[in-house]
Amino acid sequence: MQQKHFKVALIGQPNVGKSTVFNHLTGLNQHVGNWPGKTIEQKTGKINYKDYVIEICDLPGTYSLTSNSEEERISRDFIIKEKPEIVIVLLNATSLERSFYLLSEVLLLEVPTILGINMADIAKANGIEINYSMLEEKLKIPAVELVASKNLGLYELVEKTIEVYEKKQKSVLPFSAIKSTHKRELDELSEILNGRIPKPYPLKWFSVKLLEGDKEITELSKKWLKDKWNEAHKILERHEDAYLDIVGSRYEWISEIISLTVKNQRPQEILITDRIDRYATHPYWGMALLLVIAATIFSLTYLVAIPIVNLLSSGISLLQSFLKDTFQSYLSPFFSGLLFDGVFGGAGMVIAFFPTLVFFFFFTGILEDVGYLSRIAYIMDNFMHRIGLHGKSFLPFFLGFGCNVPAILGTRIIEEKKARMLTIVLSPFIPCTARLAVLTFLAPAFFGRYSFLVMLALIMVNLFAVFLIGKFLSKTLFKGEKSAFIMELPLYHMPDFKTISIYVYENIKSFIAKAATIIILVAGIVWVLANYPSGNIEESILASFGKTLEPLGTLMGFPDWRLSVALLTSFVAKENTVATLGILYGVSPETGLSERVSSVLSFPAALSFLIVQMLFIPCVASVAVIRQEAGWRWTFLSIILSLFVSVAAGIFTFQIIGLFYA
Amino acid sequence: MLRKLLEILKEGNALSAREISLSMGVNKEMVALLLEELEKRGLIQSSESHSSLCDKCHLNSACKKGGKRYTF
Repeated sequence: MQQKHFKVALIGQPNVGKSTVFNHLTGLNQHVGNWPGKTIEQKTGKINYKDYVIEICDLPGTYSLTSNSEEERISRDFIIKEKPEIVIVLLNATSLERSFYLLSEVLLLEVPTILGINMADIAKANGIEINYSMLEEKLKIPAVELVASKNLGLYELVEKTIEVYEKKQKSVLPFSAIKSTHKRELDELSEILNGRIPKPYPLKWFSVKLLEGDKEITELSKKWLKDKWNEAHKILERHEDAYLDIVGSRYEWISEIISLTVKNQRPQEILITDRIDRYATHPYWGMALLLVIAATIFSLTYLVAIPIVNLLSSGISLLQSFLKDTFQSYLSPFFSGLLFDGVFGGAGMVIAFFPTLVFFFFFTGILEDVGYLSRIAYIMDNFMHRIGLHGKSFLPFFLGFGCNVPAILGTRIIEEKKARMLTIVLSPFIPCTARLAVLTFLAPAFFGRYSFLVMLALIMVNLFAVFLIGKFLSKTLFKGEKSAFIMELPLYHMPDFKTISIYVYENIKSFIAKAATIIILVAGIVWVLANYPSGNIEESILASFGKTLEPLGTLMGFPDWRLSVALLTSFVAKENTVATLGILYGVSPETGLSERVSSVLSFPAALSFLIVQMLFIPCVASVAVIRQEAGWRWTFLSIILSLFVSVAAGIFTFQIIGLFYA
Repeated sequence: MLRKLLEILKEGNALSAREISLSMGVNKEMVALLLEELEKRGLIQSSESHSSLCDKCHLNSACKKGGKRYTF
């Protein structure tokens, strides 16, 4: 009996399992070469089955049949010009939406088509149920369930291929190629093209692709239409947005088919997440919940950490005294002072706020692990939109909550120079994690058990500052511009304490690395400057310099120059404020830093100090990035602006709160 | 469908993929596809709210889990 020969094209997206299907079907009976004139691999093979010899061509992986890439052009040219008797479209059962777009383009060519739905086992495991009979009924083409990796369904696929070949079953476009709004233009183009395009190209497909704006088809139309091109061009110019309706109609069809044929079992986690998010991401309830959570974190942190901090602080002071008493006779007075009063007194104080950070990171680690931290980003974006802050400047500001360095680099997305420079200058007003950590440590030193309320108030002040910045930018530089922010919010789940422990460890590790290097170095320099030339701190170089700042400090409520100097050292790294206070106020086992600073500062002065610390000039790393991105002129402007705003806010806070406090 | 999504984006709000899918009556995968299509055709530009510079930031996971800003 004579064998029947026919040609099949195998098409699908990249990573859909096309090669696995091809290899299983053809075995060793395959040939690998390149597509003529291209560097893209061409694989062909033969299936000898019953009385049939099926020549199969594995087309390059592609997402559509528009001429955007070489793979897309090769695939569609093969289908149009080589005219395979059957096209097998391989789909991914786990993401049918994505695979269906390619199918819609193949169906537009009205060639006999079969669906191979691969990875069916993974889809089932993920709760995805596909109604194959409904799918076949709606598409009017056969659909075969496949698990190519396990060689399942391939026999049936070959059987179906032969069946379609024997029936000469043509596929019919199961959706409208274009919406009624542009149907007339499509007909007009078809009329112009009719009889003017060469044979292999289907007229309807060619007209749709031309109206869709396909580059290759546009070029071919210019060539073939000659003097009629102007007529077609006028239609295309008048309806340059028609592609939205052409492509849109494909997506509408995909959505409809998916909703009819695919059932995705929503796990319990999704239902719970939806219920929580009704409140957690609500513009008002969400913000209220965020404030409650922030208050809870701060109060828990203080409740648990402060007794440990006090204990650790006394321990470090005891160790400092012990080491000093034991070793100072072996060392020169200068070296002994530098080591025990400078390094121990300064960097030791920074280490003392280690427990505060551990608990702070532990609680934020829980929020991150359960999936709430992403909701904070979402709520903050909502807030920033409501105040009119433009998206392009929102992004740097948002990054600034973590660290000002990526925030400043993030302004690169702003094309307009003036807008970018202004966003760079304003970005440091967003308090980074290091500033918040210092404030978290300092607040209980001044405000004891009311610290969490003060921290909340500081956050509110900061949000108000962001509000003012946002209003300013939206009224000036970004007037009328809008942009959307879309987030994929993760599902809520129970916290995993191992993950949280790693989170805490990673964050504490980078803090210790900083304390062991830059903070020790600055503490040493501060000690030298505070003891040179006479060893009496009040006669030192640092005191002479600090005293020149005293008039300004007095306006902010600072009783002496030490606090202004402590603020200045935060320029190197924010944690240096604590180290410098430790050196300049000199802690002892009996009196820790908290007692020292709280005894010299009144309530309004302490509040003023924290606000200045929050708004003060950014650290040296941020300043260096500002210089790199914006040049010296903007860097000076940024420093001067930060200084002015922070000092003005400090004076305002002290003077106004002072009125009520007195 | 693409026009409807463009209108939603032009409102300029913060949205979750879930909210868009509810308002358009399609699933989240479809929303992602439509956004890709609009971007591919140059109608919108996206920027990630995360970069490698953020790796040391302890809040980075908030940005890392799929936030994208779309401008026109």
